[in-house]
Amino acid sequence: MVNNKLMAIAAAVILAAAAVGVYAFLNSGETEKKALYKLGAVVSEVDMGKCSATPAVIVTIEDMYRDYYGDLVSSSLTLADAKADTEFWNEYCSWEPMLKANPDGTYDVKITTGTKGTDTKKIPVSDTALAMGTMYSETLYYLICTEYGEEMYSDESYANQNILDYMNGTIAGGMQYSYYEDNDVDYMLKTVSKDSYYDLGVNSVQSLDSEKLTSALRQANEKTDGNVIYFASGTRILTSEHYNNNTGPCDATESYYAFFSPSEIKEVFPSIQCIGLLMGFSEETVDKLIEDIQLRLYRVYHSVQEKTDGGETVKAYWEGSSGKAINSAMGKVILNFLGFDTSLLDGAEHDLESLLTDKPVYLVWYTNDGRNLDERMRINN
Amino acid sequence: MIELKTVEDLENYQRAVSRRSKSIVAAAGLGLILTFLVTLMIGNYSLSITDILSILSGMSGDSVGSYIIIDVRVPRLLCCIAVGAALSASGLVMQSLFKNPMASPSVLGISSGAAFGAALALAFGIGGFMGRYMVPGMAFIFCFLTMGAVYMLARTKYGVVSTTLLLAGVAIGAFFSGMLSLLQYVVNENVLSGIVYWTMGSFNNCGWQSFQLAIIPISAGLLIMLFSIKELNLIAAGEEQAANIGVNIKKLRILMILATSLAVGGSVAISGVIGFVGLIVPHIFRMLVGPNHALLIPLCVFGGGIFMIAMDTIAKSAFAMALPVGVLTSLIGAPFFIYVMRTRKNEIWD
Repeated sequence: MVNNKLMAIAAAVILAAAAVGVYAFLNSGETEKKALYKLGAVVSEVDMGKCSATPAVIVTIEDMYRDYYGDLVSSSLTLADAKADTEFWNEYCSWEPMLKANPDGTYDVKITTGTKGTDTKKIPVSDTALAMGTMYSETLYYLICTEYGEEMYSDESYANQNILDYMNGTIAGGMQYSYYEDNDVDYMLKTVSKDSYYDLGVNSVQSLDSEKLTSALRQANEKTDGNVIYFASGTRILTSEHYNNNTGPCDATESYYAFFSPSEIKEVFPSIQCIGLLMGFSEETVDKLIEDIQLRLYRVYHSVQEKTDGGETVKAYWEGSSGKAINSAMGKVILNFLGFDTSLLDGAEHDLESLLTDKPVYLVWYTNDGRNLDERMRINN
Repeated sequence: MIELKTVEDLENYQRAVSRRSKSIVAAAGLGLILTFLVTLMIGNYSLSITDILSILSGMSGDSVGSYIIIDVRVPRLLCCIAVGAALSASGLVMQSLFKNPMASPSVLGISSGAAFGAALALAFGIGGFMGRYMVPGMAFIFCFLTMGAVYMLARTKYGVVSTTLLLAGVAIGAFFSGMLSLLQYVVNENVLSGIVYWTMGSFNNCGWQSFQLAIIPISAGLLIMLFSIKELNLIAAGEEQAANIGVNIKKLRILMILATSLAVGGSVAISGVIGFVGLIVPHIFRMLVGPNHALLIPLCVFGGGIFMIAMDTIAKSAFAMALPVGVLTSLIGAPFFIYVMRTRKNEIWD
């Protein structure tokens, strides 16, 4: 009996000690050395809306550079330096215009079409736009900021009445306004009123309701004496059977449409030119914005070359909110530009063990990822 | 219970039944026309009844309104009718052929095969030679590939047994579902959203071209079914009995599989995968008029059209965001089907 009592007491003591040990272990601050934290990698969170081939990609590139490398090596480089670096210029900055000016003030624009891949359409300058895709509203915001000499995303730009009037008067509607709210897209929330915005209710050309688009285009036409243009992102989906659903309402309301599919950094520039000139911006403003982006790109590129010169290429891992590695062409372009090996960007799910084996030194997630950092770092695995 | 004592009583009874049958079919046809006209007035573009009437009579000068009615709503409603009719009639034929109340086009794996074909087109551009018809074309082709594979798998030296055919369909359907999941796993998020949207089913992109694309295979499928009414009635009483009075079971089975493949292939090609229609509509009419296919097939054609128009109108107009119609048919269909299964199963099938 005594032995039983002693054994019970010993068991209780052992259990209590184990409980204290577990508690102490879990609260010892050791979590940061577990799971992917063991890699000691640099972590970045990037805005998904600024990772496609739009002017804002320069912001993402600069932010990612700063996170991983620190300060730029030189801020005094000029556009002439960039042009002189032919390897850089040919790879990232040489581009062909997608439009040609006609004597009557219209433009012949090369756009994505349903059957032939690309086609040329004659489009006049418009003063009102419906935008299915953030690249169009964002490019317009960049252009109007350039015109008024305001820094993008600055409080001053959001307070500039000319910019507010332009954005509110020009962007009549498009993709779901809730997208901008959910993703904190300030340049839209602070410049375009929800009340006057015609919400098409979807974010994709494939699920667009042609009656809603017709209503929106008709209302936009009624509000302006000028022309109305519908911009949409020309993905492969748009080249299939969804094409007529998007173009039919434009033809019926005598509106215009232009679909672009930029997928590389250098394709950003003809897109800016097209959107800018079709919306009535001067060539001077368009060129100024393009040159500003090219120069900022070169400053990052030059710094990356300086910092990685002769070194071994290291791996980066970029994961989408689905938990799989991203597989987008633009994601690879950005990481290549920043000097990383992109072999882990294969669209597959990478578990803790494989990532610890591959040893990426730079981890990237999106800001709108629903998981907290510990979950992304596989701390629960 | 009616007492039939003489041949005259029997003839009178048959005439009464025939009159009643014709009235029911005529009422369903009228219901379809009325539904079509009413739903022509419902949509996200605001048009008054007067506007619509003047557009239909050719008196309107409103080109935008004409576009909405003539190029958007009319072809969309016609596509709804064609797809509703095809899926309902195919479901009915499957249930009769396999004597299984749960049978539907998806049971033979046809829908899964079509979904996989469409996903291949969306993910890798396979079938690009068909141009803008790449996705529907691949869906249609895979309907027939699936059908061929199922039939080949089910063939034995003793012929093709219904149960084996059904099991082969389930297996092939599961295989294509697995392949579809694999595709969804490997593609990027843009393509994934396209595949998911397509597999939910929608009439959002249905215009005149879609209608032209679907109407020939769907009509061919429905005509084959209509010409096989007598055999379907006989086989419903039992395969052996039907064979004894001269029904070529093997030929009928092949014909019906061909007919449902044509009808379902044509439907899936333009609207994506829409579930439960092939289960709900035939069961409703089986409850109402009994097992006579001479009544059931036309009723499924008209009723399927009405059901699909109603679902699509609710899906596109009742919510702030237009829903894929396949989501709605599943949301409404599943509880309805459970209700039927638990309360009326004996009345329908025993």
